[in-house]
Amino acid sequence: MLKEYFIRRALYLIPVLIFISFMSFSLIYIAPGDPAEIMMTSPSGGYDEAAVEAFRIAHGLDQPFYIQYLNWLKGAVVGDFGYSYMSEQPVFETVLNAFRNTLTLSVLSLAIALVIAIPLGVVSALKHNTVVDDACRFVALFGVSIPNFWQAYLMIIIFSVILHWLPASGFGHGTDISYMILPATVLGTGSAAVMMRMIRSSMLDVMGKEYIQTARGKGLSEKIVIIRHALKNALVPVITVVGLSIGFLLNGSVVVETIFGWSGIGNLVVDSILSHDYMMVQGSVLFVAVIFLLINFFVDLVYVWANPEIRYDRTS
Amino acid sequence: MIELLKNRQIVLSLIILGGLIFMAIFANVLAPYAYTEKDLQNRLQPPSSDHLFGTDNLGRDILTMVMYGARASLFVGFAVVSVSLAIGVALGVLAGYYGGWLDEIIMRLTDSFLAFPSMFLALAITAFLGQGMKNMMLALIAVEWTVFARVARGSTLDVKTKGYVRAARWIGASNTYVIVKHVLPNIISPVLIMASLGIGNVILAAAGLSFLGLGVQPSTPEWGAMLNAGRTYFTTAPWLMFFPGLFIMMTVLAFNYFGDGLRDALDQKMKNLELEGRF
Repeated sequence: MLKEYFIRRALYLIPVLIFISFMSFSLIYIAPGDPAEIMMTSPSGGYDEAAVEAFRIAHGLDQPFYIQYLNWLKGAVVGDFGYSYMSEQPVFETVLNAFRNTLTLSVLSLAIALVIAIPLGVVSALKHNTVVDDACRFVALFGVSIPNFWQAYLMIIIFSVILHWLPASGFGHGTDISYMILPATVLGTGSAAVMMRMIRSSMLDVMGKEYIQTARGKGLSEKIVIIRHALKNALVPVITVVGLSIGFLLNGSVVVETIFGWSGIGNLVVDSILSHDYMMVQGSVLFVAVIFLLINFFVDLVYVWANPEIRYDRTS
Repeated sequence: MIELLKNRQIVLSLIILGGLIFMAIFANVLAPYAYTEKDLQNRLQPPSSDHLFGTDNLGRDILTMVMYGARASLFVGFAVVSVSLAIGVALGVLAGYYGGWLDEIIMRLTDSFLAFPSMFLALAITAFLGQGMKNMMLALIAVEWTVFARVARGSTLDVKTKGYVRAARWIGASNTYVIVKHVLPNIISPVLIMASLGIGNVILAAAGLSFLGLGVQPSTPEWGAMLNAGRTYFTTAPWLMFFPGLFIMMTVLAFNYFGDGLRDALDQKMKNLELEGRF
């Protein structure tokens, strides 16, 4: 049964993958005007007719739409996303490098988020329906409501401009952790809020279970009951949070990486948009979507595998 | 309805939202200056009794800009969510009610839109459509409708199994009758909750896009655009960014707090909505 479910879910991926590739590809066609003209238009606004025609032929843009799509897809499947019209660099390699940097930052953000979320979630659940719980829940709401660009600047003002503790922005070769702390904290805030809520409801659920009563009945101290029995079990459904957090982190990366000058995928997309590098935009968006889709797919499988009973009433 | 007004959280958030909406509607009466009024003698003034929130790089009063900005942000929030709600609920109910291949197509379409992290999809769409408020709103609708489609479908599936719906169909009630009479009233609560959280989300995303310079044009009184314009001066004149950001946060917080209160008040079952990737 479980195997059948997994196979069905995997089959669902096929139409979705085809559709997202189609969406990414046709993005360029929703732009008013001709892609070749758009791409050959200099930032000042003018373009050369002959250059546009040459460009069109060189990039196969004179072919019918579906042929162009199939050609592009053929390449995309094997990791060939074409070349940037600006830097002439291969799109896939550039995207992959940027994504690696985003991943580095995301790992630190997740760690920061967990450090904030676990204690708050546990305290909130243990003090269920008290002022402490209300306060923790409000802090979490606060965390998802604060605009990340605003928080980023506030933190730069406090920690870089006033206190001089951390650099305001920069990449630091991707290894210097002092450049990562501020962006990772800003990114982690939103995820922490979502995680805290999940840990809280999961803890509440577990604390009502019989084995907790049993553990208490055995005379174990409350601390051991909470840490060894309740928290351990409560963290299982939190796996799904990884899926949610990846979404949060990727979305946040757009603004946060731009502000902090971190060479990740969010920064790459914004830069490519501003410099009209549409091949790069197309490639990055497709890459991010495929990664996000696969992560969610695996998270879902793990979740179902851990909780077989929810398999049938899950509606999609 | 009266019951809801006994909930402290709902009342508190409604008061804040009411205040913000009032401020947006009567911005032209309440604002101390005209938002077009430039006073180059007094540019980048810190907050004072003349200019409570200070002035911007063109000498415009920031309090005035924030008040007019509420119009833009709230309009975008309500408009995007209304359209997304209409599209999403229509598709979700169709999928859930009729099932079969229609359901498959609609759900795979929804999955495909959800496959893109929302900010990337919105960015890509605005990038290709071009900047401006209208295109930004289209991009946000493309991101937002899926939430409603999934919630509406789930609730429809739930209602469909109920005895009274099966009975109604058994005695020959038309599909339209069943949908209007039984399905829609039952999905109102979850959809309302998602709408409230959705408005907060849309306002935040819109501000983000405008901040990046891809949404509403800078120099327009809109909160995200104001933050964008203030970037250059953030160390020397932090009030340019501080106040619009504060209002974005307050507004989003109020919508989230309201949605959260509704969820608690309306149904314990609604807790599952958290799984939709929203707060």
